[in-house]
Amino acid sequence: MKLTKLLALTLVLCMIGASALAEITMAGDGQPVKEGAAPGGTFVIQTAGDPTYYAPDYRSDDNLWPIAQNVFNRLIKLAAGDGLDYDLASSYEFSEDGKDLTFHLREGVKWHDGVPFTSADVKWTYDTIIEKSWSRVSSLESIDTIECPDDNTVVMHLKAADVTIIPKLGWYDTFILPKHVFEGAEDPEALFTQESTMIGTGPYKYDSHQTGVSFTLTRNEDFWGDKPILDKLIFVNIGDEDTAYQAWLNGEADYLYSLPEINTFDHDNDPDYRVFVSLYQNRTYLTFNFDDPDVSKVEVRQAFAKAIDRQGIFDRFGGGGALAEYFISPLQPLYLDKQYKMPDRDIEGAKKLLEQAGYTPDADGYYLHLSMVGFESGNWTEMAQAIKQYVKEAGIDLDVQMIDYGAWSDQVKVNKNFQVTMLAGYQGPDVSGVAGRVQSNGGTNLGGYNNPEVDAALAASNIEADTAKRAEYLSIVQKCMCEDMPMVFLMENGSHYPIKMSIVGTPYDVPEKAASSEMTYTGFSADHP
Amino acid sequence: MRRYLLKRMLTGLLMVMISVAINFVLVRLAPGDPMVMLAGVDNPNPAQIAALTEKFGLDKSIPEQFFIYVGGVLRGDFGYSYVNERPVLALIGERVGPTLMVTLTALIIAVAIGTLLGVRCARKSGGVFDQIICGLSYLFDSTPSFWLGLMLILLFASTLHWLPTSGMVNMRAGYTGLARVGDIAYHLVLPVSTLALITMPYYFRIARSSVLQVMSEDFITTLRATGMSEKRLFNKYVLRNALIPTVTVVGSSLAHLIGGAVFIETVFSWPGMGQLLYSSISKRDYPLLSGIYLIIALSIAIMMIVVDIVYSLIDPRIKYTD
Repeated sequence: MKLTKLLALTLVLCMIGASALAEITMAGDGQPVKEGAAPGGTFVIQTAGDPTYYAPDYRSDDNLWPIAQNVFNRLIKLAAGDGLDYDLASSYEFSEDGKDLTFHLREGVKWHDGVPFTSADVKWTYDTIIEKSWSRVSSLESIDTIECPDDNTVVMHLKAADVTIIPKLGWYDTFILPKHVFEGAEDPEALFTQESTMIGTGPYKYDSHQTGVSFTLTRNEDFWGDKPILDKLIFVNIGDEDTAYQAWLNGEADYLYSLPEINTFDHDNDPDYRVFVSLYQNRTYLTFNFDDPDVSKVEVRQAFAKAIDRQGIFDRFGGGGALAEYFISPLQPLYLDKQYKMPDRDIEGAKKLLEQAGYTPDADGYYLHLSMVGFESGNWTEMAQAIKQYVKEAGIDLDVQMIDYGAWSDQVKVNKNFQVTMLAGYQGPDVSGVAGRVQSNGGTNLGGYNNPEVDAALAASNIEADTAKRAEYLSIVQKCMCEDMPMVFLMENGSHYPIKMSIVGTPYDVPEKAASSEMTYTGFSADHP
Repeated sequence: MRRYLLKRMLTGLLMVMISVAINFVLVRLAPGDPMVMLAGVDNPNPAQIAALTEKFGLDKSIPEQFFIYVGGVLRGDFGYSYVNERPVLALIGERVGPTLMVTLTALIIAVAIGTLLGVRCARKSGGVFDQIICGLSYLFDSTPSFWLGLMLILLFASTLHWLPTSGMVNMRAGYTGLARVGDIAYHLVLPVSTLALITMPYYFRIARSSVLQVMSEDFITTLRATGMSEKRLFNKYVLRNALIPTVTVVGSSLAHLIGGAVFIETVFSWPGMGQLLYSSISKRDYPLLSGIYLIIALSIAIMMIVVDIVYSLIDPRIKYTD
């Protein structure tokens, strides 16, 4: 089979497969919502704070993300549940050798200020992200040059075939920006904090921003895609999640950023709500400093894996997630090699491993004394205490320090002054997302894990279009992770999210069409005024 | 008096300068690199971290950074927030109004009611009313503000539906003009009530103990022996003397008002200085932190001078000389 066809097949599988495996299911007895929304209305969405910028791509801005999803577009969008869908591109194809990627753009698309959208905007955006090293320059590292043969065609010349580039283009901070707004400015980056730069091609456009209070968008009447239903989207700042939950129950907000853990299951059997259970390619795990004389021993890391009760962790802290059993996300079934599993809990086995590593118990019964540093986030302090208790049973005295993110960042990321740390993060959209955490030069490989076999397998998998062959390379990665245990997975993260029956067409309802947080199809149900 | 005030102003200025220098150094010595945090925990970009470090001058030594900062402040430039990428003064300016709405209103209510209750209880010390109010004052004094705020939300917003849960305005209604003023006042009720209930015991106890102390002074016994009416004795001699400690703490509280009330603002999503301060600490936004501390230090220095002036107005015996 030619490489082009293989690439196309891979991408089709990626797009369809990921959508199908979005793992968005309904919990409890929630009734399916009736079709049809009443046109118009003002929809209030809770956010945790103000966005820093008015345009995306420059720097990571989590508070801008849900707003940008409604104002800007990408060539390909990552839909809710990690499926992929066309956005500003209507199709694309790879060349025979897989090194040229051609996008055909939608016609008749206009920016919110009325200027036509063209391929020049795409080229300017990607060229600038690369040239200025903006937030997600790593997603575009395989691009060599970009050409625009005409207004509706973009050709990317890649340094080497790269099967991961399509999902990466659909991910974070790859929105297409209006060239005419930024080009010519002495310092384009200074424009990102100006309201005038919030000009996109999306279903909603900028209306106003009241600092510390709200951010308002109005419907884009000239939107090129399916017409948005609501008149207005208001993103309202409610930083405290308990207050936000009460505001949501009281009808002051329609859509929550997150639910307090204690209220996770409150609406499972409530007929006024439907509950969506979603799994993300996001995992919570422990990782180790490979420069440390104790935790650099594989037996110690394996002992941690055997000592921790993952089922207990999931039962206590899981919410909408899942038990962590494998070394890559279960949302990648084409590449998941189930023969490599996290070990079952085995306290005696953990002790034997520590003895094999040369440790003997002291007067208090401890084989070794270690420290774990983590940052305060949600229920992590309680989870860290649970881990301390689990490993104590295996004879590991773990001193737990939970500090604020800034201090953790300095201690762990910058100074590498740690033995064990706990973190979580996205490992998608493509299966190669795990590379950031296990490749020797991975940006989030905090412990300095270095296995040439893993590096080689990941590099080979990035240019391999054949799914079966790619799975073989990724199987090697999983085998190495199982043997070396650079990360002890604690939990697959997800959500357990209730939506009021009065609301229809949320990204949870239409994961095949809407990107995460995209409200194009959202409205108030005609049946539930 | 004029020379005294001039001296106090110079002392205040010195205090502000020392405070700015200490805060400037301390926040930079705290663990946490703001540029690493800006780059994010997932897939941090070393090239971007290096570029940002240079852009914001964090590659320079702390003394160099300090002199650049002081030079800027003297020119009226309080710096540029890393996180918000906006001038510090503009960010602070947006938050001062909402913060004062809550903190000043709550302070006025707490001082007025707390002092009145304190005076009333002191006059009838040991009575039933005194015992009830003392008990309540201990209760509210030991209640965490965020917990009380949440309880009031549960009661008045979620159960009785009398008041809004949070925020400053009704988002859907989008009121303008007088209706907007009324809407803001409506949203002020819960945060102001929470803050007033938490701070009221402080003023209650000061007023009560001051009045009790003054009433036990010898000169009060002497005046009483002259046959002066209790009303005149209390209003003219006891109250004036007893108010001086209250003025001191009110002055100090006024000076701190501008710093906001972090927990109250967080629980009620009130867009004030407290939230700004909290977010700038967690994100290590050095210029914004330095700017907020500078404004608080200035405010304290000014209020201390104002308190000195008020002392002399309340108690003519207080004379400021060289």
